[in-house]
Amino acid sequence: MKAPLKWLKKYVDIDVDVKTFSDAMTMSGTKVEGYEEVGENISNVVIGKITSIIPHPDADKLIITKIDTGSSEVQIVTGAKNVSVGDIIPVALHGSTLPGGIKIKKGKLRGEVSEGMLCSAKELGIDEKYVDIESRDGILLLRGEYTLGDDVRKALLLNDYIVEFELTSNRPDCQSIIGLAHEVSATLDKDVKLPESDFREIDKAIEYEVKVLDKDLCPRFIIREIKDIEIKPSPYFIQRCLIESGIRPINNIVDITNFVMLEYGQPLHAYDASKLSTKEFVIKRASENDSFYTLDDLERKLDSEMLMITDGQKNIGIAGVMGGQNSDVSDTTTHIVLESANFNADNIRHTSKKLNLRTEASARFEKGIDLSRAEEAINRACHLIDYYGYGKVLSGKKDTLENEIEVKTVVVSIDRINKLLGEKLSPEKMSEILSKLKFKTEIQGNNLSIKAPEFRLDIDMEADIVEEIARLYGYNNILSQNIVGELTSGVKTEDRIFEDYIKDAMMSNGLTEVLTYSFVSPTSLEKIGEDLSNAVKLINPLGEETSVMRTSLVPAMLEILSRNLSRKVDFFSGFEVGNIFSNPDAPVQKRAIVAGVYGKEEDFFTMKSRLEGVLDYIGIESRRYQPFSENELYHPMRCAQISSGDEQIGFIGEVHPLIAEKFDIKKRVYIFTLDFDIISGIRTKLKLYKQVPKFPAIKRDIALVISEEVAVGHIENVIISKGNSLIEKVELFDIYMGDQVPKGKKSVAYGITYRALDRTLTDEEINLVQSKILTHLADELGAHLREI
Amino acid sequence: MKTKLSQLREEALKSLSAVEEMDILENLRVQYMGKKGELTNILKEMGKLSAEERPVIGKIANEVREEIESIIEEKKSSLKLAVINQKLKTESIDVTIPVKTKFVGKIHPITKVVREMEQIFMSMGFSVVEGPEIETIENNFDALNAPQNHPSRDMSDTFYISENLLLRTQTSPVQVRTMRENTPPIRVISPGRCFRCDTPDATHSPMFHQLEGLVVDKHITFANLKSTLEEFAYKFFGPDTKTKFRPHNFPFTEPSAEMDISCFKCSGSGCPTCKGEGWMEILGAGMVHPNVLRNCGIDPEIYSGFAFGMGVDRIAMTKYEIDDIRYLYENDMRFLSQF
Repeated sequence: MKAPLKWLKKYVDIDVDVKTFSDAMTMSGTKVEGYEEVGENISNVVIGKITSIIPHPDADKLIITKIDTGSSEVQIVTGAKNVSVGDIIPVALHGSTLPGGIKIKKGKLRGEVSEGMLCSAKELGIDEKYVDIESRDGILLLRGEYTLGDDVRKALLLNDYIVEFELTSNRPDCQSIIGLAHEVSATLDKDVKLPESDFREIDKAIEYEVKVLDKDLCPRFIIREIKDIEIKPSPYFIQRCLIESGIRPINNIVDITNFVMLEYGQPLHAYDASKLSTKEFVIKRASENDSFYTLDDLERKLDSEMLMITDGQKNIGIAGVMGGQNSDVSDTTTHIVLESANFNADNIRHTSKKLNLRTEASARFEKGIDLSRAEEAINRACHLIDYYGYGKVLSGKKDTLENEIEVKTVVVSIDRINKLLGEKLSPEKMSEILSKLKFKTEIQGNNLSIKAPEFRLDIDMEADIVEEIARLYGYNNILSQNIVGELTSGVKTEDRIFEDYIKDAMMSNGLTEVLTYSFVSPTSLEKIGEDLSNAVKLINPLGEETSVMRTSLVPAMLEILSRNLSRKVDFFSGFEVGNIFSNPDAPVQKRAIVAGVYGKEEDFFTMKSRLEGVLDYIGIESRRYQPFSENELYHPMRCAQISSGDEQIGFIGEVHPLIAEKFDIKKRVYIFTLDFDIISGIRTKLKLYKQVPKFPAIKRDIALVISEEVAVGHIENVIISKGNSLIEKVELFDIYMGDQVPKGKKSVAYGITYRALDRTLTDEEINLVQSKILTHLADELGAHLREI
Repeated sequence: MKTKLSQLREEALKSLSAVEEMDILENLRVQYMGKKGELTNILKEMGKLSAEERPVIGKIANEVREEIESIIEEKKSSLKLAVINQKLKTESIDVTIPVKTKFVGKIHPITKVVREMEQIFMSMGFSVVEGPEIETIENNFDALNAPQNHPSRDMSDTFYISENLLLRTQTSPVQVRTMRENTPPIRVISPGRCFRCDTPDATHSPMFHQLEGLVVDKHITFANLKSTLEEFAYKFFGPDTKTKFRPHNFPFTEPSAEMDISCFKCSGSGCPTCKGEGWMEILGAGMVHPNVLRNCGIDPEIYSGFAFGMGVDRIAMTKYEIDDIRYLYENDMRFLSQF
């Protein structure tokens, strides 16, 4: 909420500078977002009157004006078209400055002396939408009483600060100048002077009646009748206050309703009595499918949950949102009925939302307004109308309020308040603090009995009182104290520890962590063949792109690879550990792991090497790679199912070119996926120490000729399984296909390291084992020692 | 004999000082000190001396021997050094030749910040707990005292999955779960993903990360809240960090506060990061609302607590001076590899 400081100052004394004021308000709970200085940089601009205009002898588009500035006369050459003799205008004299750092100096325009400049609204920092039609695109023509020679900052009230408050949802009462004044009063310890609201009533009594049919939506409805209205512009102070609050001045009556709304936070509405069909206001729910033309000239579709103001025959306003075209105040209005009512906050919110129509009024009603404000506000409006002589208020009002407004009593424990704050405040101190906020308190033994002012709808229970005391005592005056109590140890869940462990393993194997949205496009899941019927869908996604919860981390990874490729990033290696979701009826969330790479030096084997490094680090033993051509995601000839012991833990491979194409990937890319839960279950958490060998190893190299078809993994399996537990390591160091071996065959060379833990092996022993291995290789795989 | 020794000494010193090669030095050593060396020969004649002369000459002879020996040792090491230096000179390389670094992966900046926060809070006795990203309306709003008509419940603010399920808009439902499943003392933090209907732009993302904390026990006070969060601020943002608590309003806490810290980029003098304020808002906190405790099965007459929450993305962005939140989720390698 924007509040002009001059307005606040009418009701509470602010004797500190704006910065100190803002800080103090923020620290007591009414946060100041910022403030702007009105008329900043304007200097030496005065009120002047045009005394003569003659054409410029050498320029068709210029005129020469003489301006009376009170103490002297100046000559100014201007191109303005909207000025005539007698006009009162702002004059920037020689040496003056204007917003934006503009400096005005004496000079000659086409040979004629010009001692300054006549100013437009814009040049004074006033938005043109707030000024008369005649003053737009031209010089600002001033209406009303001005003293020639006065500084415009003073004369046009361009010498103020507008403070912007960020209000919290529990304090709708602060969405008003009076509400803010109360907070200022409590913060700066100054009294509030409430606005004058007395007025004269004429002998004639009000003739209009009010009937509320839907009381649940309208707890209070007050009307006053005013006649002999003279529509004209409102006083300049009111206009400035409205403009600085972002509301356009219209005419005296409309401006006063808006001005009072801003003062009290209570919207008012004025109806032109001549446009009303009967002498009765009937407030009731709209008929389904009815429609209504609001003030802004738009047809609104109504439904039976919207509350309408009717004149007994026709709708004349949507309660709490906007009035109708058919009854609004115009230049010819002479007689009005003024409404000040209270409506159900939720209902107004729904109506405003459904109509997509948020107004100053609806914004206030939907946050809740206390019932007493309706009367205060209508009195204030009548005061202003009477005070300025804009009309005559008829005697009496119609008010549907039946019961007295209840003021809740909250009883709080003094001890508990201190215990919650960690302070030792005396009951007297608490009472003193609360009285600044206009709370009435009574000390009753160990308790305080508290009545909050009626406008504090947020005060309901002890916690609310604790907050009030704490914020005015000052959060920063409460001394910090360490927690006293049972010690607790900070731990993480197993899953989170493992997740961290995996991330470290990935990182040390050259994979960089990525983070992607938990929701993806269903199309991207379909591209890799995911079953969408098992996906959890959002009812109200931002768009198709983010409309289902991911069932796999793969599509997002492929999108990342694609995006990096399209941005000409020549190398990418990344991984993600994140949640995937399934089972739309009762959503299940589990962790998943994916990694993806591409690059000039990347292939299946570099990826496998990363994977091996990761699996070794996290304690996955007995790892095996089984050629696998059934997984549609992968190149059928370049994919392996990864297993450990009896468990299948994931897949690795080159992405199938058809899948890659769907993601606009034109290069070979490689990914692997791992099942988090399975590897978490089978990993060796504690790697026990194995004795460092004491006896020497013996290394033998063998070269085998074998059919091209046979995967080398089989050879290694045979070697290890037939090695009588004497084999420490089997290393493949060469694969050869070509002229030196028969067609359809390949040569594979292994280095086999033999070692026993308890003795030095003899050549005989090794020869025996190795010949057994060779026999099995020949029998099982048709592999023979290569003749060299 | 005395003269002989003195002559020998003169001669040896002279020839040793001129030596420049290791084998010549060795020859000289043999010549003087070897079994048949000149000094040895002189010493052999000691027997011929009288009993009075023997100790006198013996002492001189020893001195001469020690002197020659030490000079030979000195010479030896200086010659060795010269030889090595000569060799090393031939092995020069250009150390300015650029190299290809071994590519080690990087951890995402969000994870880095979360890990750092976890470390700090764990050292203060907080455990790390997690909860599901798909939550119930009950856990995300109702139990947390959010008014039934609160705008944050709207379809325009919150992603819904069904009539009673949504994507959590905060990590606070984890607090609800924790309170329902445990008895005080409770000291937990819950980092995680949150979701709100915000169209992505430089400062908004439909998915972001929060880290929230909760303490519930007997006698927990606002003064405890302050001390805990101040300690966090010193540890995370640096020991010179100043803190400031401002009143605020949240449905699930009362009294509620926002904590500002002195800008860790400019130490409070004002810079673009803190928009010239010298302060930046870092987290929201407050005493757990008695309704929330009650909703979670904890008696507010016996227990009290405080809770706090902060936006990890924004803290990471401030820390690493990232000016657009979308970079965090675009996963461009040129971005990720910087951290």
